[in-house]
Amino acid sequence: MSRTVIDGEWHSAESGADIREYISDETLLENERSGYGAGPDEWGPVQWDGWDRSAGGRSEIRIHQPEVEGAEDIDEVREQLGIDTVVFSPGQFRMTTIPAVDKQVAYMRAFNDLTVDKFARGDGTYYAKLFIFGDHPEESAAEIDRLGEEDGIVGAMITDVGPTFPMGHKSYEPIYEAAERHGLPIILHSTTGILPAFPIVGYKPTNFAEFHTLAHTIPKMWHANSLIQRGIPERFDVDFGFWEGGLSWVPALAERLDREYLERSGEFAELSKLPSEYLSEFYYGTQPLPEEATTMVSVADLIERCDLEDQLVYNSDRPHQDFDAPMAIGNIPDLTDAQREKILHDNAAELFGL
Amino acid sequence: MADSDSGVPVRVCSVDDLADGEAAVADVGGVTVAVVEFDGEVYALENVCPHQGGPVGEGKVEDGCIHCPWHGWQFELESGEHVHGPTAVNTFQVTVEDDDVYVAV
Repeated sequence: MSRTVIDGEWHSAESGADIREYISDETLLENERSGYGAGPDEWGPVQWDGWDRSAGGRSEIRIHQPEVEGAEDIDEVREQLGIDTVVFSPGQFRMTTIPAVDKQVAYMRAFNDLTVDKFARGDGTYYAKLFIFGDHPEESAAEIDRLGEEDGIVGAMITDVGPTFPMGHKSYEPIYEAAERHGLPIILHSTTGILPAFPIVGYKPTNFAEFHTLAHTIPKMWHANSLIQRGIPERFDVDFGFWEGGLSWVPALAERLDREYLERSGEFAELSKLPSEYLSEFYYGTQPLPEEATTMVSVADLIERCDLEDQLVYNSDRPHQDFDAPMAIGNIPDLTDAQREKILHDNAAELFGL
Repeated sequence: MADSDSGVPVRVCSVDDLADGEAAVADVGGVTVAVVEFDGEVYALENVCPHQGGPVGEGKVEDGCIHCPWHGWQFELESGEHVHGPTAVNTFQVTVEDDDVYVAV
């Protein structure tokens, strides 16, 4: 077992109203406090999606936890799970669902001020990622410049469902320049999204299972494909982390990418190696791990074939219903002790500079 | 903690303790056991999910099954078997005498 366990993702647990209280513009703050009478006050402008993640109350899901007012309020559960260090991700990351475009940036800034105030300690136990908005790249870059050197800020997370463009698009370049300036990785994380067509909502899933099976994975392929084809890893010294999409999509995308590259490399940006080799340089969150019963998937085999020994980061995804405890890493068949150590500690330490 | 030699019934709780649908959890001979009542029958199972170690006994009980609250894995109270998968949670013999529930591990 690792000397210390680093969790690359534990979601903070604020409500939309909690974020609202950090809005710096007094006029907007008063407007927001007075508005939204059609829904519960705690929602604010962050839309709920109506999905039942708990399967009728049969598993726990508590996205908003009023009792968690700061990082230390998770001490007890963290210690029970055997996690030593946490890198928080935003809790209300469904900010892309805010329908009023002219308020999105104000909420992004408020959210980041909340995160710095309550969760980014930089004390050896608690760290956090900033929240950035794909459709507001200049303002997101400014956020990285504003807060990127704060104690405990070790990355920036982008909700990868919601941006209009895939992440190789030229509009994102200010974000990558800012991340490079501050040495912060960009972490991609999906949400239920409110887009009418992509990736899933518009295709009418019958229930949460049908939706959630693909909801995280398909956006990962959309963005990774774009990042590589547009040559972003060649042009920017930025690490990318793909959280919560599983692992098996990596060779599936590699198969298609290399085939296209060898047939029509002129349509790709200037690359110095096969597209699949860039996939071996991205980082991947372990959660959700494949179940033991899914015998067609072998994490050990994926690590070897995709060259991911130094790229996998243990993620708990607490407090969500599909979280993985650290013991799930211990249960993965056929890994060496050194590989488990890298997943539980070393790779996160390298990615986040801990 | 309720100490037990292997196979020796140990009192864990009273039947009344289970009346509100809550599980009684006790350490019986070094094994954490959850005792639940469903439809007039009392069942005992290990309070550690074979999936990721979740507290099975804190889960929802319905239709002769209990759902681990961590990931919703569904186990039959009688057999301990997962309803849809090739795994099971350990179950233990229960005896009820008067109002007292005994479990042997």
